[in-house]
Amino acid sequence: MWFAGNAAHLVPIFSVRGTKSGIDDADNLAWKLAFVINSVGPERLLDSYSDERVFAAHENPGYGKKSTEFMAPPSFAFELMPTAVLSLAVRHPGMRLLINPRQTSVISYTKSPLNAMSDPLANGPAPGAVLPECPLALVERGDVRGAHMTGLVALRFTALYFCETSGIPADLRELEVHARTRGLPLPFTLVPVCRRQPIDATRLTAWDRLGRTAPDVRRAPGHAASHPPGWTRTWPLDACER
Amino acid sequence: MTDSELDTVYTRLCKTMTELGEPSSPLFLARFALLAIGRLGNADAALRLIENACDGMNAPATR
Repeated sequence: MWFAGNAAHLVPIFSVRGTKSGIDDADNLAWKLAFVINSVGPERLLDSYSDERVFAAHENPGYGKKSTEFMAPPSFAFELMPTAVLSLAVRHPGMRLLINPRQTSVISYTKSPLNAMSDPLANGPAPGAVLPECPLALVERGDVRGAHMTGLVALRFTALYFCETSGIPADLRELEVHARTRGLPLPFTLVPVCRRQPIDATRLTAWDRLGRTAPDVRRAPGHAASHPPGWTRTWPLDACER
Repeated sequence: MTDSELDTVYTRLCKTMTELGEPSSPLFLARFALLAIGRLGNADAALRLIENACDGMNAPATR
């Protein structure tokens, strides 16, 4: 039996956290059910629904509490300090986050069984965190178009390789061959993310014109799976089999 | 910061609060604290300062 959505009304109303979490619950369950029904994912994928969303249910009250304190201050101090923050926020942008009831915070599934652990990436998101969004140029078949990081999200495993230009080392290119021979349930695509204009304009390449860095191996819908430093050659494929 | 500079800051704090008046001083001090915390940029140090500032102050007994 699955108990999904906001049916339990676990969190205070102020942040609309219950509704948002309910949508997340349904989304999380829906793609996993679809994967298992269509034999794209193993049955144990369904267990991760509970692991991830129970984790989220434990995180939610903290966010709900913050909004409640903002909307219905439990003491004079919870009125004084927001007043101080509000009066400073115009000229001191750093203060603004203190009066944001964090209605849009997204849960990072830091303990999800779908995360593949490796050495942390210093400047990237932790495994289980949502893929950070940023504008990118996508180069493909000699064409360049404006897009975003989430434009790389598709029904496939997407490995991002961060590099200066589009030269992918031979052993990395072999990953795509290995992926085919291993019979992964979804296509495996290696997408270089370049800091400079890609030399090879034929294969799908993301070009980060501002030269920032971002995450690397992604798991199916929109959460970072892990990071390659210290990887073995087939490590990303092992991660896909989760 | 020299001793005399510290004294100047202290006196400016007193004069500013005097001009604002007692009722406005809690808000002024809250604003000052927030800006100081932002400038400090260190959560552990800020938490220690909160503890130090509270140390020796007693909450009034409630009846």
